Amino acid sequence: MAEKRVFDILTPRQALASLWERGLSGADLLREHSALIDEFIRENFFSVLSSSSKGICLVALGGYGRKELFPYSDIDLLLLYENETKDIAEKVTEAVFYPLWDAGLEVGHGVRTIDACMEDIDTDFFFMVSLIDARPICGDISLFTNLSEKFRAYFGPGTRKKFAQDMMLHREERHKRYGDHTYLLEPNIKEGRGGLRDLHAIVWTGKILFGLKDLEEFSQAGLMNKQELTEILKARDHLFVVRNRLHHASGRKNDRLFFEYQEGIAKALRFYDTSDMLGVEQFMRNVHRSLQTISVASDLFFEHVVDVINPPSSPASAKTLSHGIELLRGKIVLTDKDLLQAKPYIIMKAFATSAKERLPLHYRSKKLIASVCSNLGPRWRLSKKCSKHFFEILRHSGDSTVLDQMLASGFLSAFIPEFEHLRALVIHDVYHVNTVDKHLIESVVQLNRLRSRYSSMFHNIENDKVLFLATFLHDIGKGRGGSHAEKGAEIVKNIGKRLGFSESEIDCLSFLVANHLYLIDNATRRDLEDESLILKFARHIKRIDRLNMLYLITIADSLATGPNVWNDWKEALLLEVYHKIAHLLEQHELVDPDRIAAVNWMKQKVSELLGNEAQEILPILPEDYLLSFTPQAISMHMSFKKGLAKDRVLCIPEDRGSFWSILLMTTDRTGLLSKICGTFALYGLSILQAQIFTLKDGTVVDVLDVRSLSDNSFKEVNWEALCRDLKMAVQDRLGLNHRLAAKFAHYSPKDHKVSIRPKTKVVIDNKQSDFYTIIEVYAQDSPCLLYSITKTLAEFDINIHKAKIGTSADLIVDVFYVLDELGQRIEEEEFIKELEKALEYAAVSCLF
Amino acid sequence: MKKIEAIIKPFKLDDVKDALYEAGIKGMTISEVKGHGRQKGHKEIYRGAEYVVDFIPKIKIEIIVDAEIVEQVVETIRNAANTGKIGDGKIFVLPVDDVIRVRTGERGKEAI
Repeated sequence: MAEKRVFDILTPRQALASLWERGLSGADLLREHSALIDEFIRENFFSVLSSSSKGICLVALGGYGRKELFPYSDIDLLLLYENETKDIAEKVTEAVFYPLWDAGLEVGHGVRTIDACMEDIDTDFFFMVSLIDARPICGDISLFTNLSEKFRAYFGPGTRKKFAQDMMLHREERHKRYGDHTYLLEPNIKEGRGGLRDLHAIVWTGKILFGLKDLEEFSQAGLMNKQELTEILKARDHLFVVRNRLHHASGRKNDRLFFEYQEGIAKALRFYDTSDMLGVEQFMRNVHRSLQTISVASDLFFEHVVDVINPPSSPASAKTLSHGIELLRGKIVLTDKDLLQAKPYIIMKAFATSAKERLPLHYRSKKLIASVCSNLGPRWRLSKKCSKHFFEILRHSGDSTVLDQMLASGFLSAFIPEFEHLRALVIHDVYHVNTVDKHLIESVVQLNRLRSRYSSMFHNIENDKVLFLATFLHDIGKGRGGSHAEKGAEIVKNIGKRLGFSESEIDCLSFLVANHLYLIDNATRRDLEDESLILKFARHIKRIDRLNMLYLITIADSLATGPNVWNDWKEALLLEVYHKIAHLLEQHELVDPDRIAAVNWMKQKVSELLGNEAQEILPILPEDYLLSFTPQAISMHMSFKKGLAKDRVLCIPEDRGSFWSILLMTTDRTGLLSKICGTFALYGLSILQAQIFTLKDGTVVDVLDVRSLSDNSFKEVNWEALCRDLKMAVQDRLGLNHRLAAKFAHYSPKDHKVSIRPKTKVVIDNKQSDFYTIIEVYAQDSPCLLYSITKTLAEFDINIHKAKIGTSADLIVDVFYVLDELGQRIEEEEFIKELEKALEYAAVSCLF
Repeated sequence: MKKIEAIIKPFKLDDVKDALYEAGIKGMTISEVKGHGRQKGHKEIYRGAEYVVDFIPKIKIEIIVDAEIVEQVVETIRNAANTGKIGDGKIFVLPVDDVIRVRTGERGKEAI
C-alpha cells in the first residue's frame, strides 16, 4: 500500500514531465507514456479487484491501444463486463476513471457488454475504428478474445466493402475540414491531409480489407516497395517527434502547428537560421515533406482500394490514345517503363492529355512515372515536344490537379530542376497560405481563371507562353537569400533557353519575373497624381503587352497568396496605375527613346552650366521645358529667377527680325495669361506663338513671339512702359477692359466679316491626357481674342498649365492644358457644356 | 478621451504612421476603406472597355488618445498626409466614453 501512495503522488502529468526531462521523444516517448498510463490504471484496477477475478476486462482503444499515446491525447478505455458482473463494473469504473479525471486527463470511456459493443459497431463508425487497435490492459482476457473474434467475424465481404467506403468518405470530410492539401502554412499534423490520421486510415483499411497486420506486411504484399515503406516510416516518426513537441509547447491537446509555436519547436529541434533560410523555414519544410509523403502514399493506396472494391464486371479493352498512352475505363494508363525512360515526352503528353481532356491518370501510372523520374538525365528537357505539351498543361490548368500530380511524382522537378529547391519551401509570414511550390501552381490556376474576366487583355498579348511561364516561375528565386525577384530574373533565363525561347522572349520573361511586384508596390505606395512618376513607370515598362502581362501576373499572384490578400480596394488602385501607364504607353511620343535620350542629354548639359545649384534646380524643370530651350538659355533663365523675389515680373524683349521674342518670368497665378495677353494687345502687339511653362516650384517661364499690329519698329515700342504696365496688370492694378475698349474703339480690320464667324469651335477633351483637360479653341484672329479667351478661363477659376498658340492664315488654333481650382480635370458634363458656350461666346464677341 | 479618425490617401499611410510613432502614438487601427467626398469617382475607358470607379480607395486610421494631446495628433496627421491636392482626406474627432482592456479589465487612460 505504501508503494501505491508514492505512485499517487506522482501523477501521470508529472510522470510525463519526467519523460520529457529524460529527453525522450518520438515513438519512444509514446511507448513509455502508454506504459506509464497502463501502470497507473493497473494500480487502480487491482485496488478493487484481484488478478484472478472473472467477467471484467479493461481494454485500451485507439491511439492508446496502439501504444502511441501522445502527451495530451485522449485516453480511450473500454470496460467490458458481463451481465453477472455489472455491480463489480461500477466499482471498477469508480476506481479507474475517477483518478484519471482527477489527474486532469482527457478520458474517452465506455462501459459495455460484448453484445452492446457489437450493436454499437453498426451505428458508430468511430467506435468501430477504435476497436481495430484494441488491446487488453488488465482483467479477464477471455472477454477480450471473445470480442476480438466477434469483431473479426463481423467483417464479411459486404461489411468490408462498406467499411472501406465509409473510411474514404470520412477521409474526404476530414480533409475538407482540416485542410485539403499539405501545403498549408499552419497544417494540422494529425487530421489534415498527409497527417497521422491519413496513415492510420491506410493501416486500418489494410487490416480490415486485406488482413495485413502492419506497414511491413503492406510491403511484403507488394502494396508498396521497400523505398516507399522506408520513406513513410521516416515521415511517421518525424511527425511523432513534431506532434510530441507541439503538445509540449501548447500545453494541451493541439494538433495544429500554429505560427506561434513554429519558431520555438524549430529551435527545440535544433534548426538554426542561415543566411538563405530561417531555422523555422527549414523546419516547416521538413514537416511539409513528411506530410506530402504520407499524402501521396494515402492517395495511391485509396485509389487502389477503389479498384479492389469495385472490380470491373467484364474485362475492358484499353484504347490507344497516342503512342504509349492508353485509355482504360476513363483513366489514362501508361505501362511501358522502358518507353517512358527512352521518350520522357510521352509522360508530358500524358499529363497534357489529362489536363486538356480532364481524364485522370491511373494510380499505377503515377507510381510508374515517379519511379522513372529519378534517372531521366538532362537531355530530354530540351525537347520541343516536351516544351509544347508543358505549355498546354499550363494553359489548361483551370484547377491544380495535373500540376499537383506532376509536382508530387517528382516529374516537375525532373523537367525544371530549379523547381526542386522550392518544394515545400515555406515563407514564414502571415500573408502566404501556401508553400512556394503550391503558391506557384495556384498562381497558374488563378491566371487561367482570369481569362474570361480580362479577355481583352489576354487578347492583346500575342505570346502567352511568356505570360504563363513568368506566372509559373515568378517566385523561383525564393529561399536563396537577397531579392527573390532579382535572383529569379537570372534563373529564368536558363529555363527559357531550355524551353526554346527566343532572345526577346527570354528578355521579356526575365523582365516580368524581376518586376512582378512593381505594379502593386507602386500602386499602393506612390502618388498616382504625379505625372512624372507615371512617366517613369511607363518608361520602365516600355510596352503595352508587358504592362498587360504584369497586370495579370499581379492579380494571379495576389489571388494565389491567400484569401485576404486581394480585394477590390487593391484592385481599384491597381487599375488606376494600370490605366495611367497604359495611356502614356499609347502616346508613343512620351516614351520615345530618342526623346528620353534628348532629355538626359539636356539635363547633363544644364547641370554642367549650373554647377553646384544643379541638384536643387534640375528636379523642378519639366521635360517640355528642357526640350524647348538651349542649355545656355535655361542657365540664363535660372539666373534671372533669382531676381524674381524682388521684381515680381521680368520682361526681356529681343528683336528677331521678322518678329520679336519676349521672355517673361513671374510666379504662377490664375488669370496670369489673360493679363499678359491683354497688356500686349494694349501695346498693339499680336501674339504669333506662345510657349508657356510652369516649373514645379511655381515659377512661370513664357516666351511669346509677337509682331506689331501697326508696323512699328522694335525701337519705337516703349518696352519700359510695357513692362511697367505688365507688372501693374499682373498685380491687378490695371483696368485692362476699359483701356482696351478705348484703344480699339476705332479699330476695323479689313477682313473682319460676320460671315466667317461659324469657323469658331471649342473642343474640350479629357482623353488625350490623364492629368489635364485639353481645351482647343478654333476662332478667327483678332487682336484681343487671346485676352478674351484666357480671361474667360480665369473667370471660371481654371488654371492654364500649358498653352500652344498657333495661327494658320486667319484662323487661330489655341490649345490649353488646364485644371480646375482644385487641381482636377474638368469632367462634369454640365460644366463642360457651360464652358464650351462661354468660350464660343468669348471668341465671337471679343469687342474688337 | 477622444477618438481620432483620419481618412487619408493610401500612399500616405507610411508617412502618417511614422509621424505618429515619432509623436509617441503606438496603437492604432488601420483599415482599407472606399468612399468619396467632393472628389468624385472617375471613369476610365481602355480599348473600348469601360471601368467605372465609383468609390476611391482610401485608408482609415483610428486612434484613441487622451483629450490633451488631440490637437497635437491631429496636426501630426495633417502634416504627414497633406499633398495640397484634392482628396487628401479628412480627420474626425469624436468623444469616447470609456475604454476597457479586455485582458485585464483596466479602464480609461490606463487602457489606451
